[in-house]
Amino acid sequence: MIGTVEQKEKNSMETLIGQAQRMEPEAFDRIVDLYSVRLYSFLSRLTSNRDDAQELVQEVFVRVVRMIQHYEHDGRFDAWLFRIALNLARDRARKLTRAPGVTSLEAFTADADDDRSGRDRIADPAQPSPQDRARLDEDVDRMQQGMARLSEPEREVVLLRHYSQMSFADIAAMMETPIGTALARAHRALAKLREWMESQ
Amino acid sequence: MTPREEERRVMEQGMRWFRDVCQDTDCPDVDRIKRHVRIAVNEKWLATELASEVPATLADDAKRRTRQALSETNDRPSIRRAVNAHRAWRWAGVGALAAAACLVMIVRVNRSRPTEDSLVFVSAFEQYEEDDLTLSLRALKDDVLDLEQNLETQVSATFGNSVFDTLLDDLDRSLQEAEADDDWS
Repeated sequence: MIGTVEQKEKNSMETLIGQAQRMEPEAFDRIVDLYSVRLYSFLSRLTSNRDDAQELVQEVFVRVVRMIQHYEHDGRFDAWLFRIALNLARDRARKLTRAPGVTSLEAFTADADDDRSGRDRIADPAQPSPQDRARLDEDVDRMQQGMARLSEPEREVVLLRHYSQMSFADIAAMMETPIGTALARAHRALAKLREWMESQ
Repeated sequence: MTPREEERRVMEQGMRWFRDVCQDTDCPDVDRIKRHVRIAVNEKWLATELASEVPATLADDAKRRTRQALSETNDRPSIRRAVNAHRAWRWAGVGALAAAACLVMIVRVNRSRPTEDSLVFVSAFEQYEEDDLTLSLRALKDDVLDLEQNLETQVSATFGNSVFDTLLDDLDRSLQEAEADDDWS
């Protein structure tokens, strides 16, 4: 039964990609619906900036439009999509680093404030009570601070695993490292995050 | 359980912990993303059309005829080509973006050194010259104005900042001439 469901999903993804390769606009709408939230969460955690994440998500999908005809579907569309996202985020980080007078920590601190106001602005009233909400916001802020303390490869491997749902083997391949390295980075990152969260 | 399996088990446990702590509470502006994606699809579609839709024989003939037309000093033929190209796009049911992109290229062809692509593109649609379709220069201008209002930023980014000003100036001048001269086409 599970196999049948998976097969159906695979077939429908193949159909969707075929439609996108024929430049059918509705197919791209569907792809945006399917992936935008995960990509946005991934990129906002990676960049610590929600405005940048929004811009990057948009750019990811524009790249998809431009490159979809070169994509050969092997059942790993997620990996292809997140590789584009990761490369765009890395390009952005390089530009930020090159910008005079801007350090990653300064950028992070400034963005953390933006982060909070952004979340308040689009808060869903159907969500938890104000007290729970405040506690959740604090946790999310702490997590974001913890993420900022990880090395870039550590942050990338944890976020890819969580948001792209790729296997560690695929993540290792994408990052061009042995799987042991990817696992070690993830292990180290999670341990650091736990330690950080518990110390706060 | 092998050491590797144990490692993976611990890792998955860690990821579950991460998922529980790392709660995402907001979403991107999906409508805005979709608008940008639509524009990218149109641009890609147009580029593909330019690259592949003009049959070789038609293209050769079109190139020859356009070179001939461009060798004329009179500006009138270029305006006629613009109208015919626009007419063709409309006839083919293509949106305003394609029509205006076509016009932009025509203006470029007539204002600078023509490229092979633009020659082929413009000339191919001269084939529709004999179609009995009624499309006025004013309607063409309205389409461009609509496009300018709706897609100014995106199209300017693609074709250059002042291209619409140039195009509209040309159309204004041509419209005045056309109104003063019924025999313009």
